[in-house]
Amino acid sequence: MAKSSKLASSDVELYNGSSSSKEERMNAQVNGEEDDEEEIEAVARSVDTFGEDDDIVPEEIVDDVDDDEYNGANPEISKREKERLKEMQKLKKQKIQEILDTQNAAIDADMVRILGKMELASKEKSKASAVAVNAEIRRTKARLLEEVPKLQRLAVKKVKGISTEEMAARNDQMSSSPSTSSTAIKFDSDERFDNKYFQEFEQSSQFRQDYEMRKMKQAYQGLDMISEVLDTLKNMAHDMNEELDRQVPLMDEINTKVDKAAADFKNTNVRLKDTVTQLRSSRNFCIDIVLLCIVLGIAAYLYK
Amino acid sequence: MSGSDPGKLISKADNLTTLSLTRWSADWESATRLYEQAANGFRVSKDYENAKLAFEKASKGREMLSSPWDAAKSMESAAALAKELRNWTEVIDFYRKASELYMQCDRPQFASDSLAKAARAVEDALPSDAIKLYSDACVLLEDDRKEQMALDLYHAVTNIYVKLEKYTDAVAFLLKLGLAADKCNATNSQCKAYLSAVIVYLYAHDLKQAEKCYNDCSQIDAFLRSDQNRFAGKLLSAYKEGDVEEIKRVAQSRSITNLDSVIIKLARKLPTGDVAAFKTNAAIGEGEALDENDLK
Repeated sequence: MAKSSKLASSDVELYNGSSSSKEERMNAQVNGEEDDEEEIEAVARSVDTFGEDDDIVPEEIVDDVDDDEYNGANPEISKREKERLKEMQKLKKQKIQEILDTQNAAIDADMVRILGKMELASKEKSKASAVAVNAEIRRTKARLLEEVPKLQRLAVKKVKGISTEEMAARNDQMSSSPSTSSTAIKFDSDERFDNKYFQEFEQSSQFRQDYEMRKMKQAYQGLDMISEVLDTLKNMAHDMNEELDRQVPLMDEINTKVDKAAADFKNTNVRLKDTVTQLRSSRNFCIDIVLLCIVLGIAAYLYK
Repeated sequence: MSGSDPGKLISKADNLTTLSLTRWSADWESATRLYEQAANGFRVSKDYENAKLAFEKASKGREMLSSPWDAAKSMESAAALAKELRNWTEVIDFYRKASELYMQCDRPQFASDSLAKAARAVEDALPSDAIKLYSDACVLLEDDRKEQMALDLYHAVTNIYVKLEKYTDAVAFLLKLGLAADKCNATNSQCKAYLSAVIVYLYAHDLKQAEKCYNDCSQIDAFLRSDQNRFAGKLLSAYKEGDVEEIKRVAQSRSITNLDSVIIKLARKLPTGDVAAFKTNAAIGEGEALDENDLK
């Protein structure tokens, strides 16, 4: 209850009061979070003031009537007339009250509807519905604003017991709040409007781009794949190039070392050959064979 | 001999090497032979601790015999066994010793190789030590003017830094990679290195540094003419516009898949953080630029 009334009061600040009675109620709410019963009392008070003011007019009429009648009638007739006038006054009061009640009820209903719409608008995600809701809010606000001067005039005439400063203050409040509220709302809605608008436009253009790209993709899918493969191949080729570059000096080193080893081998082979030749020369070989024969002869002789 | 207990061989070899009244000079040759046999025996029987000790002693013997090459080889075997035992400090020590011995043989490649093996062994356990080992290996190779071999090592260092989330250091090494690649005319690797540097900066969410790096690298002709340059440009402009979808799309393109696997993982995770901030800054910057032009 308190929350809703708080929300109502804050929103009510945005939506200017369209009648002095409304303003009274608004002020009451803003000041103290009063209950509905107090609202009704305030309305009744304003109505009473209206009623009191209205009493002046019929009293004037009554006075005129009385004057007329007094000029040519009895006091009894005047009494009856007075009673009738009183009844008429009561009826008039009632009617005025009813009118005011209906008016206030209508304004209330409008306010409630607008509040609901505001909440809806804040929750609305879709651009179109937000626009529609905001338009309706603006229409209702315009209607209420139209009624403001009428009621203002009424307030000036009828409302008693309110100092001129307060009236001026109220008028200021009324005149100031519409601008802020309207800018507030417009700002919000426009902001939302623009963002969503641009978003959706981007979305649609993006979608169109995607569609075109998809079309192109289908046609050039093969080319894409080829380019990917070529990229990989290029990278592999580069890496192979670098690896080979790395291997080249190593290979050169191996080459040098193997050459050196081969030269060593050759050298060794030659020397070995020399040694073996030296060892196995024919002269030495003959001497070896002769000596061997002698040894065998001696052995045979000994064993024979 | 081969069938006898490795323990016995070790004790026998120890006897041969210890000096005493009966022995006035150590017989390193036979001792070394015995040590090696014992070590092989231990290794076969999966007694890694003793095998490691035996290889150590064998290496010392070889050193005494003035053959640093064989000593280094034995030391490497010892280090491999230490790795099995997960004794990281010993692994580092042995590999360092082996690399020194290789340098004595005037074989810097092997020296750097052994350091690289050490780094690879300990990179999970001791990443900072691994980085040191890798850097030393790279220095050895560069001194020998074999920068091409160093490229892999630089990649490894970068991966470690990325794992440790030290992105500026990673970028520094990538740029060193680029320099080494430039010296040996490996333009593809160079361009990939620069692109990786830009990506690492963007992953660290440092657009200014990334742009600076990109500008610096654009001074180099090889990079300027390359695909990687275009790709880096596209990525940076997507970042400046703050367009997350564009960044993701650009990061999926082919140029990324040719990079190192670690860098690919980083690129796939782009963008990190809020690119909208870059966008507003860029917009302000561009606005000012336009005003200056108007005044002119």
